Amino acid sequence: MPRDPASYRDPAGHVHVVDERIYRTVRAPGREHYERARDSGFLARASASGRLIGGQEVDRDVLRGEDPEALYVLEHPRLPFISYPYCWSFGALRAAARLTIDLHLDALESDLTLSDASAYNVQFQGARPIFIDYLSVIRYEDGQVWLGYRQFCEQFLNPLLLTSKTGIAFQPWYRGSLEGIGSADLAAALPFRAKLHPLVAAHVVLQGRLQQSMNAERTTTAKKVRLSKTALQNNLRSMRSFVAGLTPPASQQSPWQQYEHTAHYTADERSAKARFVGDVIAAAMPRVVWDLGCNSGEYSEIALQRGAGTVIGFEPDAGALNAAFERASAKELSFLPLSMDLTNPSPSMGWRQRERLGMAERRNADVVLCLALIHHLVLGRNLPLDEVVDWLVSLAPAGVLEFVPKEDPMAAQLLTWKPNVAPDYDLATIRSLLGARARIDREEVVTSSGRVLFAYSRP
Amino acid sequence: MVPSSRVVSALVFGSVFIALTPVVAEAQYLDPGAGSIIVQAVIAVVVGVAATVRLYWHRITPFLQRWKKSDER
Repeated sequence: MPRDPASYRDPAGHVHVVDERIYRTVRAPGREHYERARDSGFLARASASGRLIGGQEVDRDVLRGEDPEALYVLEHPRLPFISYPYCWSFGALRAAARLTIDLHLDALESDLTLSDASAYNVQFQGARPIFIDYLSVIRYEDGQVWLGYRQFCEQFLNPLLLTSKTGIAFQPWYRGSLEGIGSADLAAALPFRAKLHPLVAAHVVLQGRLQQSMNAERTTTAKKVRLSKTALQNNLRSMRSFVAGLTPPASQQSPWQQYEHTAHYTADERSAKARFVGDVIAAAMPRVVWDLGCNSGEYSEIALQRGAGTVIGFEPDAGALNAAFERASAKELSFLPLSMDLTNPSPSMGWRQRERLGMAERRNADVVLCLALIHHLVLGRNLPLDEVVDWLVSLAPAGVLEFVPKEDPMAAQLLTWKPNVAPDYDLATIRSLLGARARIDREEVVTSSGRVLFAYSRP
Repeated sequence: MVPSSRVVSALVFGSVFIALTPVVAEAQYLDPGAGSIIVQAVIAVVVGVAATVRLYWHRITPFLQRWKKSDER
């Protein structure tokens, strides 16, 4: 594959993916900036501190056929999974925002600055954010303003403010508007009380108004504005503490967050399920596990304890997702929970619909967990059972599927108003559908209500 | 250590200024937005004033306390 389809904005260089290896070119416009960042020791220090991804200069010939104009070629380690800000939890977006500012403040110490503030420059290793774009680091010129300020507001601050101040989830809006949420749009959505905060008034209301009322004269003035380095640092520190103080709204405390503490399982049943899942993981030793409907990450954590390399979780409920991210953060787990409605997964989109890849295009799990989920898909969302099993088996070469019978209290609740939905939804049908598509390696009844776990693998 | 008032006023009022020539780095590829630059300048002044007040807070508070005590009497 030639240049990464998402790497076209910055003329300083591009990312190329060749034989599953990640390379970054430095071209003429980026040369002096890269050399300065490298020779000042900044890149090595930031990388050693874990804020910046590693990068080794390699022979330019590796990309001779791809980009003959490359002056340097760097190789970066491959991350287990590429995620985008519109799938992050509130806590993840906030952590990525703080990382971006911390890295910028570090850079200024070495007379360097960041040319942008794109949220897509941040990726996650577990719950730990890491900055990936070496070419964002450029020489600092005296008096220079914060070049990525508007982008920072649109891609970090505004989505966080939207959720924090109105209770509206930022993810669907962000997914529909990949460059983030504009200040004027956010101003229209915020309640009057929120706008009384002086920083909201400045960053959102004033910025939105000024962006809408720009004329040639004001643009000429703006071009000549200079900030002292102290003022730039003050602005960055003010933004860092403002962002750090934003919290998810009370409305994102959902019943699902408490799910694992409620009594759908007895202690024995819970440990039987944990043992089953753990044994499958310990036998497969998967590099990547996908936990579908991960809730607050209880089984993701068990998978990691039993030998999984990394777990990517998918969860539509904001409260459960926040709890999962907190679990991953607090325990430093290699677990990244993402916001995802599996019945409408994130598609391929952006420029030529190749810039940001869909969930299916990023499929990389060795084992998939589908625990206490299938009744939501089939009974709750009316999805055809055979298609759900098809989809599940297509996601990874092996997996664990939990069947929740119609008599189970959680399933019965979904059938209250539509008792006749999915007449084929029973244990025998699931077993035969799964058996026709994969080998059933193990089957075990885990609760008195009749929940059954299947371990399967594709032949 | 308290910086001299000259240092402080330089910090606050000298932190933002209009120069004759614009600073445009050749590596700049992103439009920073003219309106957003003006907002940055406004915030820089406000944050600068706040930083100065914090610097002198320990001098202001005893004065306020004295004033409050005399008020209570």
